[in-house]
Amino acid sequence: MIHVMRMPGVNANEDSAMLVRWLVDEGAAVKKGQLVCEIETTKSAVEIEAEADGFLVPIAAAGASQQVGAPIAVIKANLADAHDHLLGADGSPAKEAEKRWTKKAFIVARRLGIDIEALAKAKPGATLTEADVLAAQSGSPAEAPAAAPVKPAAVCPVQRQTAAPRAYLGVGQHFERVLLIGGASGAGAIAVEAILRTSHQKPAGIIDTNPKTHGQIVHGVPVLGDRTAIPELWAEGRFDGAIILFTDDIDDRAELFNSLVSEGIRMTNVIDPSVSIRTDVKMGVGNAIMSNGFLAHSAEIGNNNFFASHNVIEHHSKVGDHNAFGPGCTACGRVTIGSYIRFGMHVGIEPYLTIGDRCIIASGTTLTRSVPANTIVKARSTNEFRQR
Amino acid sequence: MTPDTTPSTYLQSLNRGLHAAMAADEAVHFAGEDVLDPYGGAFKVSAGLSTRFPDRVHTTPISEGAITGLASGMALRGLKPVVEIMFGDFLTLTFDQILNHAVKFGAMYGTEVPVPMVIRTPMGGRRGYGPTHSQSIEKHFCGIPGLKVISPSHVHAAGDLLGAAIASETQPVLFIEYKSLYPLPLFTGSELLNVAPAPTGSYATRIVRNFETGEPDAVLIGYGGVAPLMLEVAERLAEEEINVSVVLPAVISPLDIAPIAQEVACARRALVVEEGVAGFDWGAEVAARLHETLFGKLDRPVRRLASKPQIIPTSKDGEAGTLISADDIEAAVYEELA
Repeated sequence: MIHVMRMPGVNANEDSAMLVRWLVDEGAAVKKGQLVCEIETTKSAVEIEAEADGFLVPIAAAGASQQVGAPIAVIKANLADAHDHLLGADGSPAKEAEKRWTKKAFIVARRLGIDIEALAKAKPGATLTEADVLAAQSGSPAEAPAAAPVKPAAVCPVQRQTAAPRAYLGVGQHFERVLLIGGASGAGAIAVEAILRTSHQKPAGIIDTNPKTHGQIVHGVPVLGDRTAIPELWAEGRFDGAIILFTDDIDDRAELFNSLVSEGIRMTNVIDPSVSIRTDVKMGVGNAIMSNGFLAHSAEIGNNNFFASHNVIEHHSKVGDHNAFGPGCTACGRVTIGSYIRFGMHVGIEPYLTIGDRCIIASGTTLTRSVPANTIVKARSTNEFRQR
Repeated sequence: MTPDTTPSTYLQSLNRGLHAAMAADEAVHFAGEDVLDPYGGAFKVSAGLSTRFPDRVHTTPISEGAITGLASGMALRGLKPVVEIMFGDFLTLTFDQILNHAVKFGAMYGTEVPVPMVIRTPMGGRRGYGPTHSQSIEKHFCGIPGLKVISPSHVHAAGDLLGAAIASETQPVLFIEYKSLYPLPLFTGSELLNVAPAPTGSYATRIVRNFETGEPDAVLIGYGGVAPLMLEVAERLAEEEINVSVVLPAVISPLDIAPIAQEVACARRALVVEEGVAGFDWGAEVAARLHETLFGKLDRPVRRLASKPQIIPTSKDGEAGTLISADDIEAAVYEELA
């Protein structure tokens, strides 16, 4: 067994301490409780005991300051293993991913409508700079063989996804790769576009039940198979988060979401950059929010909801799980929406109302009183057609 | 005032500034809680003063209001008092003495009456001191007519600034130090960052750039304890070819917007950073003044970044999640440029 010794926190007011000197030689046999080194904070000097029996190999050099919690030595029963263990002892990333372009190069490429992926493919191994992108724009053929124009980035802030690891934030090579389930549909098309307009996500692939799409490129994204392929893609590290985009079968949507979550597959949110999210909004995962949505102050959104474009969830309104909203629905302030509900398009909900679980609300309905669970609401007014 | 020439930490610089000011002028007196040697003040900024100037260093009872009132009286009678408030959070107890007394005396007794007093205090968190010893509440003192609020970063020669305030100011000064800066060496540049030339020993706004030639893509504006965060972000951005200027005014109220606006006019995108909590903040004043000065000339609205408007937890993780971080600033820059 390997034991990693870490810098202890001996002074509550400091998060680092100086390792003054080692009291034992590298590779020395030590007994638990034996004094092995001396550390010093601004308040005191302290001798540190070996935390296990074995051979000690220092990691931290004498005379340098170390963060509290940083590994300072390993103790191992077998000396050779102790050396082998040094690399990953602190759990630090083994090797940084290859940097394909600077963030400035990425930003400039987006502004100019240049496909930086294509540029990078043409220059394998190199880190693309702003100058490379500008050269490609001026039409130097050697630099830009396949630079296809893409839509310019939206000039609006990217929605921060607090659930995503830091590495995904920002522009450049640290994308969150999103798997689109049911993505060969029309909803998939707008979701792909939403993802391409953010600067922190990119599509990793599409999952679709239609076998004719498998192996094809749909909306510019490869279709990787049906949903049986998802666990393997996750195990292979092919995507960082998944989103469900089909809305025709709500129960299937919920069941799939729950089974993916139970398998440890990370679900993510896909939010078009034109969506405006105000303060103190809470949101679960697996939500797709398409263009021009508006989530007002203190709105709460559960998991696995699909919002088509122009949905308004006003202040202090709550939305449960596994709902599908057609375009242009509006929940006024302090509305409570349950789960497993299908909304048509342009459904209006007056303030303070409650919509129970498993309802179906027809397009064009304006709800003026609460709806009990398992209710179908039909729109009363229908179109009348007559000859002019 | 002899300028700092030897490399020193922010804390050592302040300590030297105090020593130099007291040595230079016998009218300078120092008052505060637990300031006598060997303790030398809670953060050791006043270390050595009582040994060297025993008649002019006064340890006081625990009453910030009384100390501040005492200093106003000393200033009116021709002395140059310097007051230490142990934690910036306790400035609330001095508020009446400052707002309704010290800054009014000039007008009350005629404009010829000088009230040269400096109230200095450490602000800020990141040391796990909890809700009432970690705040940055100076925004509540900004905008008071007759009060100058100074908060140097570690890019400023902090001790020279303090010395200049003690020696030259004729009306009350609130001097905001940052605990998180105390152990840091004064910053004079690094491999990736260069400090633009500015006259030493003055209140001049300092500008640190992560590029040698060309124009900034964005400007980061801040003061005091957020300076190291902004410099860290500037170093990260240098590796991404993103040019940023970090603009650090020392006098935060009243605010001279000209040197800030000049840099922002080049970049057309600006972010204001502070450790105080978001809302009715210093950044709001900076943003409003920049929009007045550069109306129609910005590519994006000025972005404000501050700590979450919450009570600061004592636990280290909780505190880190509440206070503004370098990661927050970095992510915001990318959002502004996207």
